[in-house]
Amino acid sequence: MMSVTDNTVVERMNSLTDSLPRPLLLLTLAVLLVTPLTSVGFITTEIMIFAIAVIGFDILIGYTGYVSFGQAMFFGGGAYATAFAVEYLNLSFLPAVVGAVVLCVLIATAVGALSFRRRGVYFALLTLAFAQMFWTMGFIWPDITGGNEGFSFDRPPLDLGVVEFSMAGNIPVYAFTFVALALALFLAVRIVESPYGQVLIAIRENEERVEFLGYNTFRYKLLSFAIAGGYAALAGSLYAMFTEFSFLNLLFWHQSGDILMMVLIGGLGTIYGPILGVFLFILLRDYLSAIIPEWPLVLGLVFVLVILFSPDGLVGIYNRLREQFGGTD
Amino acid sequence: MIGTSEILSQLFSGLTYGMVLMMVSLGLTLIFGVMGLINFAHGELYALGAYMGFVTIQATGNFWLALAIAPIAVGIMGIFIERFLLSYLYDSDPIFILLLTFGLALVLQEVIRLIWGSGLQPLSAPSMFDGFIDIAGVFMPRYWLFVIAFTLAITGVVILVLNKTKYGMFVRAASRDSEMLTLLGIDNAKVYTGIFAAGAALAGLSGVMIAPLRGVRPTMGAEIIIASFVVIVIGGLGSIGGAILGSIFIGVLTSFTSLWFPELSDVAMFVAMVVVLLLLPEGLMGEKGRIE
Repeated sequence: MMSVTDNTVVERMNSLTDSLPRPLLLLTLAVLLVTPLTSVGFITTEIMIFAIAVIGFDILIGYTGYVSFGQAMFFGGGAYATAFAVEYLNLSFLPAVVGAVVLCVLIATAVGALSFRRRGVYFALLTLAFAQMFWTMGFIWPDITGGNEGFSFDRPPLDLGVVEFSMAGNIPVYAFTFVALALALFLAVRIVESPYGQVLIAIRENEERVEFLGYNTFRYKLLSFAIAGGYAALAGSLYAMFTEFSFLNLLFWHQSGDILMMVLIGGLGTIYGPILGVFLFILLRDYLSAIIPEWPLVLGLVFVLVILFSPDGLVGIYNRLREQFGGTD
Repeated sequence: MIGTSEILSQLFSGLTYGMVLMMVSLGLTLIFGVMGLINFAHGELYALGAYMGFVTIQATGNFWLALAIAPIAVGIMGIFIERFLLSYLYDSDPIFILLLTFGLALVLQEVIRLIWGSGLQPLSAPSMFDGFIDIAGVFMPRYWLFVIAFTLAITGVVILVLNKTKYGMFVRAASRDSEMLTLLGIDNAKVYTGIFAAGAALAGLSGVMIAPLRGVRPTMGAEIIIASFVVIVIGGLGSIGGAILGSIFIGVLTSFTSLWFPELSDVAMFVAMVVVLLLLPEGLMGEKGRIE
């Protein structure tokens, strides 16, 4: 459906690992490992949480080629499900997170089944509308959801049956998020390099032809939507655990827009690129919001420029620079 | 107990809201029908229209002048947006234009905030619209009646222009087969610019029209855009008749749910969308309703 570059599948798979300079990756890792001990630890955790969301989203938007405007429904959904699981069901850390992810994957399957009745911009509008529906539902039972006030809870311990870890303080959440991100990244790379991932790419390049080859594209697309939803839910769940709070803005379409902008600024269909996008987006947002109240203006401009001049994002810019000046590694 | 008079007044209020939705969605669906793209910044053009009206009234005190200047000003902005931004992406997937206009919507809303601040600005209708009219024992604000009559008139003009004039024929031809139009020696680019400007002007016009009812504020565009998306999805993307039906339906539905189940009034339109989508995946009017 949506073709950003003319890469063949093979080229694209090579570009997945070559698309980022190794030193930058190592630097990223180093930053992630060191900063939780410093005062910027909050931002690092936030970056890792959103990294999980964009990795999953990239499988849908970058590989399958379907743009959803509704990731907030799973990000916020994961946050609320976690908050409710802890507060109303007294679940401990891991079951609350896993339960939230499973619930959101089920919701994603239902929403995806309806939205994949259409393609392209129609699909995008449907996902946007569904997400807004969940947002408006947050106002219906304020006694249960907390309504406009949001919903706060106390972070439960990590109970593994044999041992129980206290999750008090920022470091344990950070460590848990780090492990979750590593697993999420590993799984995503395995998914896109698997035969299943190849079919997704083929759907992006020419869905009709894949259908003619006898594939049930609907099922492939639906699974990628559910995967993206599950990743967003995991991120949202960790976000709620980290802040011990869930609120309606997490379900609002601005949240979907933020996740979408991170992926596109970083570079679609590269898994690693969107993580770069998260870095840039969050650092820029934190820096700008401290100096001007109208900071979304600058982020919006950056996004518009990326769409106009480098629809394959920062990764695209890097690749073009390397082609122009670069060695033949 | 809810009496007939309450039902009637709710019906009027729903119709009035539906009219504003109609004029906004008409522009959206016109642009989609011809150019195959969704303009996410359409809501911001509607907000800019309201602010243009606000500025005009501040300067001259004349509501009618505001109603004339705002659509022209926003139409011109539309020309710039189409020529200097959108036209660069006509060769890519239409989804990139949706993404571009999403970014543009963020930018425009902040520009509005920078110029006019975040607060709510009042804008009053001419004094001839003060007061109420008694309809079957229900007091209906005169201005609501104006909104309904004015929107229906504008919608009528749009339909007439599309069906009875040479330009309307070009537009219909472009929506069916733009390549053929080019072969016949008509500059397709001009049709695109024209239709985008017309859609923007409609958005600007509806912004001024709603201002006396709800005031003028930076978030007004974001507030209307989702409802108009739901309208055109329900009606069938690119269908004029669908936009008309869909907006009246959503306006009245929202109004009545807020009467009977106030807490569900915002959810109702999404539920309606899901139901329509399940029964008629192409929308109420489907492909038949497309402008051509």
